[in-house]
Amino acid sequence: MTSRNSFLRALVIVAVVVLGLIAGPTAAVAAFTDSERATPQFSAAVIPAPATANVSMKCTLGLHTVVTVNSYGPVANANYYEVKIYDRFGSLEFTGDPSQAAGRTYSSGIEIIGTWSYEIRGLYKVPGSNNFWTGKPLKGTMTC
Amino acid sequence: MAISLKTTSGKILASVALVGTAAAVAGMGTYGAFTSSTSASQAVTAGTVTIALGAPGPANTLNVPVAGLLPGDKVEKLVTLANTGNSDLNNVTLTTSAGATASLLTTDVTNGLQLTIENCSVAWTGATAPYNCTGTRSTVLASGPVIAANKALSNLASLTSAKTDNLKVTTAFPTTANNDFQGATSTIAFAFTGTQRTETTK
Repeated sequence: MTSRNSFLRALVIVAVVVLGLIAGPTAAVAAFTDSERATPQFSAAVIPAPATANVSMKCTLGLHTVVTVNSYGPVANANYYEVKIYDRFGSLEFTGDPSQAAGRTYSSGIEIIGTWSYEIRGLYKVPGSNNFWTGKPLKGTMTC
Repeated sequence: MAISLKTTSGKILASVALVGTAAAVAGMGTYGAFTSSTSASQAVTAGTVTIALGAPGPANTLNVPVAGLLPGDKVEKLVTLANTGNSDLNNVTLTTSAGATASLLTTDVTNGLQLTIENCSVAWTGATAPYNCTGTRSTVLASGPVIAANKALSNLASLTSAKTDNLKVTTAFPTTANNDFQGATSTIAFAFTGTQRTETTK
């Protein structure tokens, strides 16, 4: 009985395989294709820090100072520059555009001056937009 | 569960299997009969589906890397797409991917790079961008995020065998891309795929 069942099972399997081979080719679908590739690289700009800057500090009795940005190196991709001056506590005293006369000199009030710091950076202001990119700063310190 | 020939279902199943097998084998079988035959032969050659981008140079600047992109910039690249096979095509699709080099340029669908492709009936003119079309200009791919899969390209002459398209691939960097995009870099694979025309009866 067991051998007869095995034979029957095998017979069914063979039948299914044969029928599958007959029907299989009609189910296949293929199409000729061809592909071509290109792989360009895209990189966004970086706005680096100015390479150099000359900033002077003149003090009066250690209680008043005038800070002047005399020069700064050009920054690639920047269309605007910014100087920030911080007092001895790190508080922002002044922000200016060093390309303008009014923006490159700062005269403090009466206060204990000590060691101040500055940052000069380039920016890219997107034309026709409020969007801007900020460059890395060149930092320095000044002491009376 | 074992299948038994003693049961009705077993017998039916066995019968179906035997009939199916016999039918399948019968078609392949041989039988004796008086026959006569004649023959005729005809060469049958499959068509070829081949597309080609222009050789690097004036006909293909697509691979030239682009550096120093700022918000609002547009990059125009020229490339010819030719159907160099002997079959017409049903369509040409473009799939772009950045793979492991993905960056904000490719993942930010709004502020990242936007891709447009235009076709000109004659070669684009101009030594440098912006290039001009003195013939008929048409849109092949409307503006959209630079990364996309299986985008069907429109208005291609190269769907016809032996025809060539003059494509201008423009990649725009939106003015809204913020400071986070600084220094972002991606290598974008442009894969053009041509697929054979729909089948016909000959």
